Amino acid sequence: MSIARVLGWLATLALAAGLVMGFGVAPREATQGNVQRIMYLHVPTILVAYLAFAVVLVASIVYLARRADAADRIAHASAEVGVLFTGICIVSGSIWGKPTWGTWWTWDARLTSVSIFFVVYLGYLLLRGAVDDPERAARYAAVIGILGALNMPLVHFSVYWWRTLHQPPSMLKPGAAAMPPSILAALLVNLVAFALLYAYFVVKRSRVLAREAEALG
Amino acid sequence: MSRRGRFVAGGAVIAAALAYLIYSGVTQSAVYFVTPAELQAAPVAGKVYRLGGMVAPGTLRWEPTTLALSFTLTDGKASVPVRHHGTPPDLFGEKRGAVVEGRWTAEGYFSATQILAKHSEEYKAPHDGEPAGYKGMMKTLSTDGK
Amino acid sequence: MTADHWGYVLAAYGIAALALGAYWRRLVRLDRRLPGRRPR
Repeated sequence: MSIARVLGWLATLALAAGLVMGFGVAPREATQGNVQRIMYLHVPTILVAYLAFAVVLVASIVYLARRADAADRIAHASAEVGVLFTGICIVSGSIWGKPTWGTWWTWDARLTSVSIFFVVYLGYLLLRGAVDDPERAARYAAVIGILGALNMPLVHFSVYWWRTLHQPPSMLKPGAAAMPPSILAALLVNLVAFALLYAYFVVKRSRVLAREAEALG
Repeated sequence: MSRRGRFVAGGAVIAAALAYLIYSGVTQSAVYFVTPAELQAAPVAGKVYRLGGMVAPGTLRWEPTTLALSFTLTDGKASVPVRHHGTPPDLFGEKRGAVVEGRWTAEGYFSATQILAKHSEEYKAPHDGEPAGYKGMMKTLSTDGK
Repeated sequence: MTADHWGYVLAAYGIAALALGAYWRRLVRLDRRLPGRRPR
């Protein structure tokens, strides 16, 4: 079996385990009720999106330094999956916000910075499509891939630096997580599941990109 | 200037522009709400504000028939009476954080057009004591929004 | 006690499943369209 296949099956199993943890094992949260279970989708997707854009950053630096096409393909694939996951995070957060906050959307620092984040990497993908010469497309994209990562600390720390409607992180913060172990366990299983899904998508996507390049060149 | 040098210089210019855009975009939404103390220090009647604080215990009144809602928002230093017409979100309640949008009136109360509940980062299993929300909200209020 | 809003939970997970499924199907389709498939 190829790596992609193994990753695909692992991700499928982990996602199933994540659903069991999120809906079967974790308790109904005391303050919010069952709508809190959206968190098992919302938090892992953004954390894996951070990972995806960190990979874009590193792969872009490697590409500019070594001009290795493989690094460019990994950056391209990783950005695509990162945008997908960020989109899922935003949509699920909005659906959660309506019954809990009382609004689908508000322009606080967290929601604004994550929107900018999303748009920058969407721009990255659009730019890749707009430039015909693959070498130039890769070079320009690498610059955006590096600059876009500047926004990452802004997204994460916005809830500490400014007053926001969005609450601060519960898991990715100094000190113990502010939640019972069963909720934390459900989050961690889902985090692993989405990380595996990310890896599967990136491996598969960069292979397709490699074969596209082969077919063209 | 070499090709590489121009490329680096161009990249630096783009980086600076992008950083500025991002920073100004976020700082515009940085003062997301004012606190009761800040509002009371210089209230302007008729001006639109976003006001954030904790719903003071024992002040919440809601008439389900007329949808008339009134409560007091406090940050521990000052408090502001708020009136609203409508159904509040689920997480809204006494001793919990809330952000309200509306106008300060000449009559000395805050007329809210929208009520938002602020959630804390604490999650609890059922029957785990004090409602989450209070501590997180007070923490937010104590940090100075720049 | 707050209401549960199962409809919202279902909507969030449903939209996520659709998006992930659509992306997966796109990858499979791109893979099939290319010439010279490697043995799997």
